[in-house]
Amino acid sequence: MTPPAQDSTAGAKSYLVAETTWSSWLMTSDHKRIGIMFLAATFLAMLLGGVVALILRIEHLTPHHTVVDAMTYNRLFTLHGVIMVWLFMIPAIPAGLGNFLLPLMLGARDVAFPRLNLLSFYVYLLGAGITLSAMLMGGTDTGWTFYTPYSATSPTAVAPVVAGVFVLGISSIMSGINFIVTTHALRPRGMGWFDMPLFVWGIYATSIIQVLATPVLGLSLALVVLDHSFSWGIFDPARGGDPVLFEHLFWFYSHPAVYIMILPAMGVISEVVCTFSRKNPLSYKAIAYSSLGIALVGFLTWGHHLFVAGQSAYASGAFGIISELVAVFSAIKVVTWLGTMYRGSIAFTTPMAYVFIFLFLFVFGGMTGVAQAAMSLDVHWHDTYFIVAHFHFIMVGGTLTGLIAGLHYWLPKITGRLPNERVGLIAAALVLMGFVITFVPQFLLGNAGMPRRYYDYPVRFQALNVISTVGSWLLSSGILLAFGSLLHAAFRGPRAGSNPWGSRSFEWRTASPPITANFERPLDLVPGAYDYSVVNPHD
Amino acid sequence: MNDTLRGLLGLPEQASSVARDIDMLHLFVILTTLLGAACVGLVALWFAVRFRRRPGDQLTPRVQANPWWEAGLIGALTCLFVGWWVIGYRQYLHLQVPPIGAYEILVSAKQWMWSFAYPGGQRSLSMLVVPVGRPIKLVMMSRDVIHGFFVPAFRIKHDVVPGYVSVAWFQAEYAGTFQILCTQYCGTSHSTMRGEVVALAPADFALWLQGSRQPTRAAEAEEAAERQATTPGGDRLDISHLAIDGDPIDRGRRAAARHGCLSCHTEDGQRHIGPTWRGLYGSRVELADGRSLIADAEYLTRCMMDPLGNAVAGYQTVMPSYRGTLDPDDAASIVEFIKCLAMADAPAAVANPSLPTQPYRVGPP
Repeated sequence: MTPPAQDSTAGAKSYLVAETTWSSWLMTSDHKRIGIMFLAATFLAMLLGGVVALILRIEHLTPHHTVVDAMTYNRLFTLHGVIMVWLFMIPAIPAGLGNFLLPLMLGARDVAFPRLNLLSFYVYLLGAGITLSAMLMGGTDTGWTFYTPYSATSPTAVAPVVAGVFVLGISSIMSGINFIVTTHALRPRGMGWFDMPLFVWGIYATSIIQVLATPVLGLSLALVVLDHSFSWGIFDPARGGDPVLFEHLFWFYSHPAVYIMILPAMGVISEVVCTFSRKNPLSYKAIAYSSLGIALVGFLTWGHHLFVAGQSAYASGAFGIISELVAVFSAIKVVTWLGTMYRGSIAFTTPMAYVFIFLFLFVFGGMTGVAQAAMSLDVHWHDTYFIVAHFHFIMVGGTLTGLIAGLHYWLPKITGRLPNERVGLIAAALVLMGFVITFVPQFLLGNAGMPRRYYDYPVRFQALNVISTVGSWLLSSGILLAFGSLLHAAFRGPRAGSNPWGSRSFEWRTASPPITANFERPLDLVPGAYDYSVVNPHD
Repeated sequence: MNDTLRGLLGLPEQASSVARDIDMLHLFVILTTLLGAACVGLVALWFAVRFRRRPGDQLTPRVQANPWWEAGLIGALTCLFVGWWVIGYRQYLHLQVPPIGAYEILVSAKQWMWSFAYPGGQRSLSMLVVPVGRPIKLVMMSRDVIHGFFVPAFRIKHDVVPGYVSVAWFQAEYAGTFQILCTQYCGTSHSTMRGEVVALAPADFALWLQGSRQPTRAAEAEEAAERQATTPGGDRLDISHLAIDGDPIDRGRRAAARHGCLSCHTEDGQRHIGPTWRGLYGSRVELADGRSLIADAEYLTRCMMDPLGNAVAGYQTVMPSYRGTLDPDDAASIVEFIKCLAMADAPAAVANPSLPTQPYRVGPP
């Protein structure tokens, strides 16, 4: 990386140029550098997962064989899911942007355990290496859900994929612990819980889920390996085991895991809305508490994945109504973001464009989730493309747009350079169009009854599949353009100055890019992170 | 209105008794969702224009949400969402509980085909033939991995989990052919594990039942050959007992003998270690846990898989579970055998009296 010259106002050198050797990056304990390494690694994973997704979509141009055979298709959709969930979505915002920003937002020098932070990155690389090496062994065809007894009997390389995900879980737990302790212990004197920037609340709530839920994933995956490699039969009915037990264990982690993926993006949106509206949030506590609410109540909804698996109708009913309630928290956030714009001073920049995209897609995608908790509808939608579309509305329409918004917003903080607005807005328009064309047809396919993970589909589904595939080309070109423009700006963009957006949030009260120690002087907490009603003495 | 919106949303035809109601909820929910997303998007855009940044804008007023507004919003949304749940849960319970007296068909799923066994001993592969206008109860088992039984036109779906007895029901509203799809990923050919529901007028159905007693052997031979072909080496499934001679009732007797059932259950009405099978089917049984129910195919199958949870009052709970050791075909034929032991004395007790049935042969030929 060619680092820009240090900010002229700073006495010490920026973290990018303080040291420039390879080992100063690879052995660093600086949260900013580790955050950048996480971002780079997760982007590579996204690229790989995205290419796989494009192949899957091309395969669906015709109802039967197009470019790959059934076995390859089944391995590719598994690969797409595993990469996007564990290698990209879960670490990208918390371990990437979160790592970079959390200490800056708290006025701290680093995270609480800097070396654990570096270890977390290498454990991530190890897990990614194990998972991807399974590709060389032919990959596995179980789907990212690893449902037993199929995963216990599949002749493919289940064990290395599962072992890799297990290791990735350890990395996730390490980051989670680090962020929780950082938030508790490293806030400066005078910064109460409700003075923190809202992004910190998002990361904090995420970390709670990572620490509490990931061990259950590790446990259940370890049992799958024992079943697969040593025929233990924990989940095999022929040996007295219970396949539905695995579904419970898996979703006990994997439902909260979707909140691991969306909560940090919500944190990004909270920051971007306030900065570009120059407004205090309509209700700080509503956003903060709803993050915690989602994290905690989200633990009690896993059974909504088992409405047709044969669990008791009473259990299903309870899971259904709790799932309805967890959606109220998200709705509170959406209304609060909208209200934040009211009487603000709104600059329609690229990050703000992504906020609008996020709002529309997240509301629609989220409400289709609420719809599934109206349980008779889920009976029809379960395991169809409706679920695929719903999930991608939240994870691509929500998390990915949140991530791109955050990258445009914090690019000056990270590199000291400004993104290109014109290209950014064109890319945003492409992403929105491509997204809608890709995933709206999938809702209709689900309604019509097309099951997910379906290599060969009835001919009547072809037209919608072709539209969706064309949309995926638009979407991917939009994403490539956005990332290409960001990458170009990171090296060649115009200099930004320390606070180009005029934000009041704490991370902007130091040089951009910051010095290695983050702050030259202790962070001044006045005015507050969202106080746009008084003149900012730091400008 | 109904048809236009259904077409726009891509929903299939409404061929079952529940489809119309479920689709009404579907329309309500999706239209609200679209409206909500559109409102949020439009308000955001309106604000972006109305409150756009003007030169010289530096400070903005501090606006805080009114707690009453917040509480009202939370209350309204909760009411809306819970309202959806109330309607959806009622429909869900309706789907979960088959009506009493439903026509019972045993469904067996395996990689990658469906097979069906009818109360009269008829069998069919990949084609589920049912009468129109009558509730059909599917008692489903899987021989290998989890499958999902899905008929889009009926709006019903249920996973078929190995080791479990999964139950679903539907009632076809008109004659026609409706696709069955497998929705739970089950291996290489998951996407070709399809079948058809053929709904016939009751008279046609009766004719089909009579006609299909003869081709049964052909169907079994076909299936046996198919199983040979798809389980190389036969390492997981013991297929030696799948002799293709004899009808399902003989097979049931032989399966019962082979699995040791007859050492505890008698055929002649005498009380032994377990309840006698004579007259059991269709009779009311009192269970050890206080429940009282009619012994139908679902109950009998559940007993084989989970004897402790379904023990009859007054007997010692010594029966082992046959989960995993008794394959769905054997279970189905044992149920048929128990049924014919009931019909020998009291044909009126049979749960499906309106069906034209041929007299059962009791005992070996």
